[in-house]
Amino acid sequence: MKKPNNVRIPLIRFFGIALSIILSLFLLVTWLTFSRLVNFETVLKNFSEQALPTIVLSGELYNEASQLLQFTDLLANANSDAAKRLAEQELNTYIRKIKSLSSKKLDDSFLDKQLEIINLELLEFSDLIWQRADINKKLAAKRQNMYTLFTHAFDLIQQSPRKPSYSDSEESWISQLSRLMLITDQAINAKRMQEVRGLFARVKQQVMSIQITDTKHANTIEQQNIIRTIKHTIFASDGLEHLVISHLKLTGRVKGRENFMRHLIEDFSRLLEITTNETKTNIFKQVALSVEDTENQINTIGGIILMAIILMFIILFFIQNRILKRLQNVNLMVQNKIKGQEGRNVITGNDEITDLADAFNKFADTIEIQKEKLELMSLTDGLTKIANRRALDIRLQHDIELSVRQKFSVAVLLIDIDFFKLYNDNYGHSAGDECLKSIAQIISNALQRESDFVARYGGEEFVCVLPNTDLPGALERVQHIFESIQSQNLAHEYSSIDKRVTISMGVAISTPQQVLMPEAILKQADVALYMAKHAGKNTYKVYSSNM
Amino acid sequence: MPKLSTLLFLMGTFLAATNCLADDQQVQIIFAANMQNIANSDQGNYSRLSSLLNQQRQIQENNSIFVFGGGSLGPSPMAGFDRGSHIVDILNSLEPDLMTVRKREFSYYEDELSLRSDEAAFPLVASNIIDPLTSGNIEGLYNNVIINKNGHKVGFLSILEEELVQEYLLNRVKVFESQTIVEGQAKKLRRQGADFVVMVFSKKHAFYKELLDSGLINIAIRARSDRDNANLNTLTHPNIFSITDDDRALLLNITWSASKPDDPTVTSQEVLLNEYPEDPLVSMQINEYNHRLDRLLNQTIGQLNVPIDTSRELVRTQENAFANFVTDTLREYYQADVAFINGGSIRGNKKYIANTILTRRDIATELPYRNRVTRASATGEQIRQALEHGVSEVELIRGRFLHVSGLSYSFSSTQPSGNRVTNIKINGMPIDLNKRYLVATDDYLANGGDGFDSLSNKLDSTSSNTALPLISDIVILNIQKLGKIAPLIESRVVRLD
Repeated sequence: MKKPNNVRIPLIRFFGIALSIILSLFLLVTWLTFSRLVNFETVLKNFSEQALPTIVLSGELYNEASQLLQFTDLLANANSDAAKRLAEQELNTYIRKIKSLSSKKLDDSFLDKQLEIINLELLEFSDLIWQRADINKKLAAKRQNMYTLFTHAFDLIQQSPRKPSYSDSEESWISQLSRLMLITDQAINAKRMQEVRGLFARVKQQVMSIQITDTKHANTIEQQNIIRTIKHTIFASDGLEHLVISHLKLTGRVKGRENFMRHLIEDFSRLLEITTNETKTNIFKQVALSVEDTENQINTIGGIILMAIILMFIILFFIQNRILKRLQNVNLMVQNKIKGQEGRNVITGNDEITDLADAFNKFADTIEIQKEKLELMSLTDGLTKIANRRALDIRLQHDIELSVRQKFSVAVLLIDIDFFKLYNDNYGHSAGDECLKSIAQIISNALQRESDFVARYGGEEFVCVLPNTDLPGALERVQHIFESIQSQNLAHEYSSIDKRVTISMGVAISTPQQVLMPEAILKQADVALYMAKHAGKNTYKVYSSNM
Repeated sequence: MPKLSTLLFLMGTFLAATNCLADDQQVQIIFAANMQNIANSDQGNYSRLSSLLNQQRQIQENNSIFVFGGGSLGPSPMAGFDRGSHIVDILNSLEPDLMTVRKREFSYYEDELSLRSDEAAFPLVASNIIDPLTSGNIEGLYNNVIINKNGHKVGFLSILEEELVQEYLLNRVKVFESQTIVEGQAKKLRRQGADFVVMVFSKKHAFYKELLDSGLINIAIRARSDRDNANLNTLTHPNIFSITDDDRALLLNITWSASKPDDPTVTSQEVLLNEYPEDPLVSMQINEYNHRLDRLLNQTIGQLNVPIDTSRELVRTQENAFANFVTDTLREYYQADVAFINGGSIRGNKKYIANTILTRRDIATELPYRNRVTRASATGEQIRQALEHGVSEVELIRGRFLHVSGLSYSFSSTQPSGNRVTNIKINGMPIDLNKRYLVATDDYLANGGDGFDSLSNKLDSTSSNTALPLISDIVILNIQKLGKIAPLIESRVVRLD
């Protein structure tokens, strides 16, 4: 029965909600997991596409930079042309390597710029070294030249074996030349600029003094020329003095530049290392954060999954309860109904299942009504399979009417089984039913004529209608019935008159002189039966007006 | 032949007379110094100095001695890269007779100075230092030098002050400034035949007057130094000469008169270098260096949204916005409780207007020393001691003045040294003298530079493999990260008098 206060929750909505919840949970978990995965993928991607290559690149650059230092050293110390060329070659190779590495972009404009600058500086440094080499060469050549000139100058005075010693002028020439050579040598080897200048000033003085002596001693043209050449060699614009000074400056400059290069490359390496360390630290921090994040998310997701599972169980439990159990109940109810058992199960709730139950009940009720209607409409007694009361009424009516037309008598026998209640109570209802069926069959068999009719009148009552039968004829039939039942010997322990099933009978006749309507004749038969029961049962009585 | 020899004799005498007789003998000393930043036009200009030298050398017929007073090998942005090689290279073009070594020459420590002496085509002189490694002078340097000019031997001494070791954090070299030492060096020169002794010095000693009066030292030239700002260091004597400003040179004319050959007189003349034209060759050299420096340092790193001033006197006596930025950066680097830097590290001496675009060069000019970041652990008491030391000689405008981050303090210079600091607060709370704080600073201070002993409990071993960045590195990185900076003065240091 529907409880009127129950809110109606259609199954569709119920299932809808349940499925929505399940689906949402599923989507939530999926989305969480997916988003975590995507996040992690991003971190990994970033790591592998940017940070890792940067770190690797930095490492390579760092390596190359330290190689650069070595080669700068090599270049600065290369003393021969060949060594210089070799060093330069190595340097150029390395610069190319570094350039190719740095073109992969450290994503740091300063460091990239630094590489460019280092490259430029190295080229300029290399230039300087060539310049120094150049000056060195020229200086060496000039010195050689100078010594050749001096040798030649000394040779101008040849000591002949015949002369015991040099003349005054010759001696003056030799000593002055020697002094000149000495001072020139000092000047060439001096390391301090002003000292060099001072020495070369003395050289100039010495030359001038020789030139004065030249005129004094009327030296030869060759002697004068050689002095002039020597002077030119030393003091020309590309002369010895200039070369010595330039050499000093350039040497200092190269040393300074080499130190500078070294520091530049060291600085670069250091900055590289710092940037790399920072990137490393950042990456590690990022990864650690991500790992922590992921761990948290895993815990969250785990929790949510657990919750989802619990929720699913709850939903299943609900489904079990609200649907399956109730369906079971409905099934049980239907089964019971089919078995014919009464008793209505209460189906709780307010939805399609209750609708189903209600519908079924309605159908069952309808069937009951139909059955009753059917039964009502049928003419056969369901149990004994002989005619039922309805059939009797029709037949009796018909036979009475026929008896009026055809002017014959109709005999009606009202039979009642003795002590049937006791039989039922003690032997059971099924046995009772069997007894009824047997009696019905016996009575039916006892009537011989086609037109004779037997019907079940009530629970344990039967009525026979014998048309065209007068009293003697009827009594003959009655006797036959009694004998048949007797001979059947249906056991009845609980009958107080006989250990067999017996009957009592009431007879009534409708004659053409005294036609009795069906109700009247049945009434008479009933009275007669009553008398028979009172006469001690297992007998019959015919109706008479003084009963 | 007698005729010839007589002629010769006459000629010789004549020559001698023309050389030695005439009137007096003169030797000129040209003195210039303190030109460390070739890009700074406020200082003297090597190019113009070169013109001066060319002129004087011609006038004096090469009887001039060019003494470069030093104080120039550092610090400067270029020197940050080449430790002063470029100055030596430029000086080579000017052909000094000698250079007297002053404090700043030690900006990059002893060995770099030795390397510079190798590159120099002139002697570097430092008379009162000992390197234990050589048991003598630093490799490449001379104790003294005698220059022969015009028949005279002029000897030169360069006396350094003891504070050098502490201020420049030198681990090896020892400086001796006593009268005995100075006298000894002067006597050595005399023994070597010097008839005129010149001493170049920075810090005054009363006994100098004695030495000058006795004639052991003929003249003394004071090369200006950091101590001059307070004007508490002047020593007056007729034979003490000095240049009054950085853009000048000193011309000292020494005259030996014929009548008094043993008592030379000295006249001095100070000239403005700006009055001389530029020497194209030297200018070219300087421009090349500047160009290379530009190449290295011209990258823009950010914008300065407020005006700041890093003048020397300001950074050494009061709170400074730029210094605040540096200390904040330092503190952030180590996530420390406090950070320190000394005013002497900030060398720009420059005023910046608002919205200046900052380049690496600016930072390299402000922070040219190659000091690295360091962290140390210090108790509140040690921090207090450090602060006291920082203001102990604030009236002398010393470089030890401390700039801070994460802390604030007040001081009064009227109180005695050692008792000037009050109201120290760390992160807003009064300082706990017993608590240990994490201090971020540079290796100069942590190693005891400028006399800071109390910050020496370093937390990273010096042999660790990872390279520690320079202060300038992290400042540059920070400005790059922030893009725009607007540091302010925020009452971190309150002067009460």
